[in-house]
Amino acid sequence: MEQTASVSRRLTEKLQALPFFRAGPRDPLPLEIGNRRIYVLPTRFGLFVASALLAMLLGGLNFNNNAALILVFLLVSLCNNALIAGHLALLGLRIHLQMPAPVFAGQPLQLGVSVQQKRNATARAYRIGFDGSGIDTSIGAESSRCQLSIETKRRGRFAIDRISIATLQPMGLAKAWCYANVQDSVWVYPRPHGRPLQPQYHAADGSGGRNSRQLSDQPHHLRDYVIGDSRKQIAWKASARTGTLQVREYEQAQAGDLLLDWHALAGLDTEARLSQLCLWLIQAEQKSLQYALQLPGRLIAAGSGNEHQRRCLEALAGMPDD
Amino acid sequence: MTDVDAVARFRKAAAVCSALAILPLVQQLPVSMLLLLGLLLLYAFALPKPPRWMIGLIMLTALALLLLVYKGRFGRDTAACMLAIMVAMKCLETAGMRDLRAVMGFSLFLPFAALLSSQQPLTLTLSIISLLFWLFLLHCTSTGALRFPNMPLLQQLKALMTQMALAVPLAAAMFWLFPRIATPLWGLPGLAGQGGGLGDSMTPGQWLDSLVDDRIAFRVKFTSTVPTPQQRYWRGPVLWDFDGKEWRRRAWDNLPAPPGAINTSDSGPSISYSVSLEPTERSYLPVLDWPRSAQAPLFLTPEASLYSDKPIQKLSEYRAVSWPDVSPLSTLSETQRRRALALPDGLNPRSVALARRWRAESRDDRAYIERVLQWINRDFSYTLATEEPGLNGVDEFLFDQKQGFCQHFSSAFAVLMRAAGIPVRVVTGYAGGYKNPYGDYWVLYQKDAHAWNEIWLDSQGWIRIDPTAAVAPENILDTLSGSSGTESYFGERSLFSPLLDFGDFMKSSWNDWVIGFNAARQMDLLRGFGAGQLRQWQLLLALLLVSAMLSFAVFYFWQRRKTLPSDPVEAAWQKLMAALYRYGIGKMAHETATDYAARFPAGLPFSEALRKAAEHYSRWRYGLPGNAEARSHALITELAEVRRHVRKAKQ
Repeated sequence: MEQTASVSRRLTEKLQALPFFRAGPRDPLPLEIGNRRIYVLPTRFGLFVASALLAMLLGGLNFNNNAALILVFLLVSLCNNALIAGHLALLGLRIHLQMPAPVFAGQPLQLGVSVQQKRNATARAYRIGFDGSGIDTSIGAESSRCQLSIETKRRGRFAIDRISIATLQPMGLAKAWCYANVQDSVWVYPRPHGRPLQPQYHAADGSGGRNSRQLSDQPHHLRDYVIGDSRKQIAWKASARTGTLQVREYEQAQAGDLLLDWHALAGLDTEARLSQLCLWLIQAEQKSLQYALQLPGRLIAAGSGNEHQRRCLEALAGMPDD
Repeated sequence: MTDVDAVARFRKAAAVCSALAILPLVQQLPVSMLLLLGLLLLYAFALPKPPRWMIGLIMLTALALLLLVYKGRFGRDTAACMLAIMVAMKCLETAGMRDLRAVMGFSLFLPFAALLSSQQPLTLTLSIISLLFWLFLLHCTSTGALRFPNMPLLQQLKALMTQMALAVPLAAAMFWLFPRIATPLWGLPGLAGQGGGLGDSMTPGQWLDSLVDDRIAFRVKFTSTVPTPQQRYWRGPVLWDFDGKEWRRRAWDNLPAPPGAINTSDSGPSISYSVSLEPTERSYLPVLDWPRSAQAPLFLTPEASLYSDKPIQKLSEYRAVSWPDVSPLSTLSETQRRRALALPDGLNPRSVALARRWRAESRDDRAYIERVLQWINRDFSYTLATEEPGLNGVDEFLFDQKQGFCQHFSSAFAVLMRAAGIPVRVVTGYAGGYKNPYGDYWVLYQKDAHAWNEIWLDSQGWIRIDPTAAVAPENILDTLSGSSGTESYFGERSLFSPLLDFGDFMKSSWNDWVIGFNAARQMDLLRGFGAGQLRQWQLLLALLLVSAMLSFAVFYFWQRRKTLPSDPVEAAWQKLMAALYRYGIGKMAHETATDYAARFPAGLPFSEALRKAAEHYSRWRYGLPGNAEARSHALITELAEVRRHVRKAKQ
């Protein structure tokens, strides 16, 4: 009993190791489709037609009705040639891929696929798919591009092991397909969600929210006092010199360096915290603030710009689950 | 495009597909059913999908009509008709891809059903036409949506034909090599309607339909001497019992003769021949007088007629040998004698009285028969215009009408013989035959159906007597349509007969080569290639090998083939490029058309023309202003012209 179980397990493992069931090592791009990576199997309609043909074949053989047999054999031969044509529709196809840019969870990844047919081949419609998600693209004599949209649900590294290129043409009786092994992954950032980043958090007097505070105040220039300015901002010496009340203006009107702190968001679960931090991070970047990110066991020093944002977002996306 | 339009397109495609699939059945379906199917398909083609209750109502009406037309009998033809109605109904409720595909799948069975009943070349041609459209529709629906390609019709047809042509080698290989079943696993359901054969009974006057039937009954190839016209009597059902109106044989007459009843030894000259019999839906097989043995599974009945234990439902071939001179039946049992003398009491009193008087006046049986035949020769005439017989049909014929055709003559003759105490029976079958001038075979038509008699003389056994042949030639009043009447040597052939003969020759060859192919012939064919007796699995293996080879050939053909772009200017340009490549100076990938043309030295005869053509091509390709339509035509001719020059220069 145990032996058979182990045998069947080994068999399953062997099966799953076959290129049909699992993505192989990454293909060099552009990928040219060779004979050995094309699969052809009948569609449901193809099976329906096949069973009809089988019934007709049996009938024709039984009655030795040669005219009917001629019809059946002609049909079988046509279907056989359709399988060959399906295979040939893929053979020699050149595939270029453009890996998708990172997205926030819930947004689709856009994988750029360009399929180039051999010169002078008949135009075919291809279905590009990733785990069943498919889009149709009709391909003419020249190269054709399309964007494969892949749904994302949660943050993390999104692995794209392989994509399929399939065609039902020329007759819709069989599906011919092949896989392009991508073996790559893309960051999917947490979904930005939560309270917006509030301006008062960044008041220079430190009266801002608990979860963000200025780190360094670099005075920039002086200006006249306006009612409502904080008393701490008044530059007394300069005021004495000029005779009017002068206020220190800081580098960014409301900003200092912002600390986006994981620990300050107690009471929320991990994903909610990440979503909140992500939202603030984006808003901080939009407002061109300097921001640092404090995560459990990791601090990303203050900074700004695309590169900095990317580092922060990846750190968020890469947070281990609870 | 709106949804309604899309549905309408599905409906149109489904309707055309099934209409073409019904086409091969047209010869077999009754006109009323064809009208019904036409209406249903027209509805599907032109009008939107009817509500559910209406479809149900139409369905019920159609089925009721079907029952009515076939009079409630259910046979092969009824089933084919019902299938056609079902497919038409499916067209009626088609609203999308699923329905269309169902119609396409089931419509495959319609040509198949047609071919089960008729294997004629016409039926097969019509089936292949329907197949072509089916294929076209497959292409249009291949992606899962219905899209008609925007190619010219001729080009599409060409593509379809190419596809068909590529399918032929493999189909042929399967036809020759696919293991055939020697004995069927199940029988073919019979026809609800009448088949073309002779029945087990005969009423004088009833054969009028048969005698004007131009269809072929069977074809014969003689492998020895050809029989003389007097020997060309093809015996079918032998009828024993007469009830005053109808001659009939019984079911137990269709049993094999007991061993020894038929003398199987050689006796005088024999005639061997092979017959290719059209389906009759009956179990007799016509043979020349007199057969002495039969090849299993056929057998001879006690009256030496050839029978099969199953009805003949498709074209059948058999070989036979006949000895025309002497009957192989040497004994007449007491039961048989009683049967061969029985007459219904009290009927035809005048005939019975006449027979008894004449027999008493005659020296012996022979003299009496001679007298009767002379009477027929003197006083009777042959015509197809006869009246419905009354209670004493034979009396009416012999004493009042004095005219009729073979059924009347044989029936009356038998009554006269039985009344005089001479055992006699009626034999139905075919007489005559017509030699096809193109092929070495003879044809017998349905209208050659004939009835004659066999009398028993103790000294000689059974002797064939044909009272119809005793009619004096000048007394033959009419035969039908100037063509042969009951006996084909009576009439003449029509003006178109050479054409018809040639057509029949083609059909006969078709029967020989295509329809007649079976398990035995398959083995013969393979033996011709040097293979011995092959088992079925060996045959299947051979077929797989051949299929793989042919598939690879198709693969190779398609892979190598260069399809030209669909744009005609682009196609002409690429043809020119190919010609220049063959000339020796090919265009490099990075070169523009004009740069490339400039590379040719001025000395070449086509250099100038090529430069100009390349210039025009660039202008056309990159859309410099001008009348594009007119220019493209001019450009195509120009490119073709340059290509001609290049090819000339190469030679």
